[in-house]
Amino acid sequence: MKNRRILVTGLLMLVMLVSFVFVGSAANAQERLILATTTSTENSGLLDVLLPPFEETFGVRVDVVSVGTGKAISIAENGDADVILVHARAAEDAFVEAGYGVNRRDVMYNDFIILGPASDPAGIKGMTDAGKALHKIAESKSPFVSRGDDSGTNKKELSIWASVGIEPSGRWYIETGQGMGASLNVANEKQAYILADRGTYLAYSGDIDLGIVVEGDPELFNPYGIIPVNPAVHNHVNYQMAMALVGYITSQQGQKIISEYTAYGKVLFHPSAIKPEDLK
Amino acid sequence: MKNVILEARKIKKSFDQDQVLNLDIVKVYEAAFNFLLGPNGSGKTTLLNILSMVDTDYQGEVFYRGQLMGKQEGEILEFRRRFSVIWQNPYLFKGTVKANIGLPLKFRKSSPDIIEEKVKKMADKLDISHLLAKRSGELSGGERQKVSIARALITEPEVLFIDEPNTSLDYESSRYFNGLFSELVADGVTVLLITHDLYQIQNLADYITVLNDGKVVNQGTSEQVDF
Amino acid sequence: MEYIISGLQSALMLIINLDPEVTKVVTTSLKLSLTSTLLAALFGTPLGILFSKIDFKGKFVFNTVLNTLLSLPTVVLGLFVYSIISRRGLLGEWGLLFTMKGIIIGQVLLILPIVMALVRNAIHDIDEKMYKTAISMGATGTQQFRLLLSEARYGIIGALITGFGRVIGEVGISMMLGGNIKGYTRTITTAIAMETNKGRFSFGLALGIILLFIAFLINFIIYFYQIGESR
Repeated sequence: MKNRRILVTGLLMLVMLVSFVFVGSAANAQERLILATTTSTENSGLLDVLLPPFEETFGVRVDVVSVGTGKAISIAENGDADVILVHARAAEDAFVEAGYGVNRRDVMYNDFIILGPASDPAGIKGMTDAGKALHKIAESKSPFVSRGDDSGTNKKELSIWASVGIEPSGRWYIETGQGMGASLNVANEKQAYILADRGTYLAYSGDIDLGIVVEGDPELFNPYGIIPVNPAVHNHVNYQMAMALVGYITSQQGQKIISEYTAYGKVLFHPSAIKPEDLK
Repeated sequence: MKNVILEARKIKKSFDQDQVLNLDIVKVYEAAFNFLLGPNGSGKTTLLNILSMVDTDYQGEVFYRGQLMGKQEGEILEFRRRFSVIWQNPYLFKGTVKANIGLPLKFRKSSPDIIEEKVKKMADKLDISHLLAKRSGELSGGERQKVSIARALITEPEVLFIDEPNTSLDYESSRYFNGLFSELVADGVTVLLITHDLYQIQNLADYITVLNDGKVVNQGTSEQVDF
Repeated sequence: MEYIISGLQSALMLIINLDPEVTKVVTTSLKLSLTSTLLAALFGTPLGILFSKIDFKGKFVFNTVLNTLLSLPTVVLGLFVYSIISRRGLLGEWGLLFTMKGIIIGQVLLILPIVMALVRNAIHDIDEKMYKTAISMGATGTQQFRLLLSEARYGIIGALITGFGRVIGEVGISMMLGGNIKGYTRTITTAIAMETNKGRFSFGLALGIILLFIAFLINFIIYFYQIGESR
């Protein structure tokens, strides 16, 4: 009994020691590039096929930190990332304007869709004008779920409300303050309308009853940009490698991977640095 | 008249604001039964702690064979290791009885073989060999006291301090230990004993010191002292 | 109910097939938690002992602060450490954000109060008679200290295992300071948070089941140690 206890103690100590040494040596063995991006980008799975060829070619490890667009930009402003891949054009421009980012390039776009319950209380199914559709939702006070988390999706939603001159509020307007997935679940439970990105919707479509009610409005296009952090502001950033990533992603090779990527049998992203017809 | 082995002079001890001891002179005689008597709260255990060097936070001086027992770390240890204390409610350390009895020798850096041998001998002597492999938490009150006595005797102390040992021992055991302590005294060991047991006082005491309210009220041979 | 069954199924499959993604997050979690616990033990144990032994003015204030820190939410601590190790923070030059070391700093700070308080309690619980007995047996200062550690060992080990349980199950710090980087700082808990967000409930649940299994192991070890507690 006593011997066994000593054995367990010894084993525990050994594991601790080994792990300690391991952690100490394993980190920082390789050049790293920190890419801050949005949760929906990482969740789409695109980066898992897009990044490895780059990592191999340049012998670099790309560490992807995925957060909301607002957070991704503020991480970059603090100099905690080397490059960002986000989708919120106005915020991106402000980021570059303020000098934190340089050499922004368009990468790709996907689109947002408005989802709603089969009962369609606002009667907007089949509409192609997102602004008008939201107007009808507000008018009928049909429940609408907003992420309310300063993400790219949230910013897009607010800009559409603003375009039709509505400041949404009231019991029908539900702000979750959570990510896309959690918000979709809330919308599903409340049988509410919601603005979502197509990728996340596809991932969830098996689990929720909501269907697409509005799509195809150019207003709903969701362009992604890549921006290296300005080394003149944060001189520690890996600017060379960040520019290499920009070059790779906007190259024939990168754009082709994006155009060919599918999830749930559907194309999720459309390259925008090189026209699809020019990709060979 | 026997030799004085320990002599305490002008001992003062306070807890917070309360003075619990204020003694002029207390003598402990060599190779004899020295009894410390007095009502509860009279300062008996406090004095035992001071004489045995368990407590060195006091005013005054204690002499061992005429030599001042200093309060420096090294000196304290040197004197302490000539003594042993048997406490009223013994504390046994986690682990086996065997480990507990051998611990004082381990502190003195005896070799494991010697410890093993001495522990065995002591356990035989006190008739507790069957307890050696048990863990200390498994013992009854009486067994705990016996183990603590074995642990105190294993170092062959010059002075043995005993604080009311009989409270958890049955009649037979306490008779046995009275005999054992008498043998020790006959072999030249000094015993200082706190007790309320009339039988012990009447049959064993050579010298008696009576405390009351932190002061010596009577001191002398058992014939002189009216207790 | 459907989720739980399919979660159990996929958990089993993932474990049986030694899914590389799962293996990676599990080993990352274990590495981080063990390292954080070891470091917290290294600092927290002596501090806890010291703290239970010494008296000083305003100790009760310190005690109250220590007890309050026990219920510190991980996100608050995460935010605090974030503000320090971010490139804009005090220690920004060291580039600790989004690294294992960053997480470890946060986790150590998280459980240091826990380890300190529980070690303090373990030492505090030891009978005053222990010291008198050891002294009367002629123990040197070092021997007394070793004896103290030995007497309090179950309490101290319990403190460390509690700390370990706290770090392996926390998500706030790992997420904020580690960034949930795939193949690097992604832990069991951050992976669960992410998989749930992605809609892969059963995968998240599978990881949750693995986490529970580890927690069960920890508690089994605690029980194993506490068998000896009373003796």
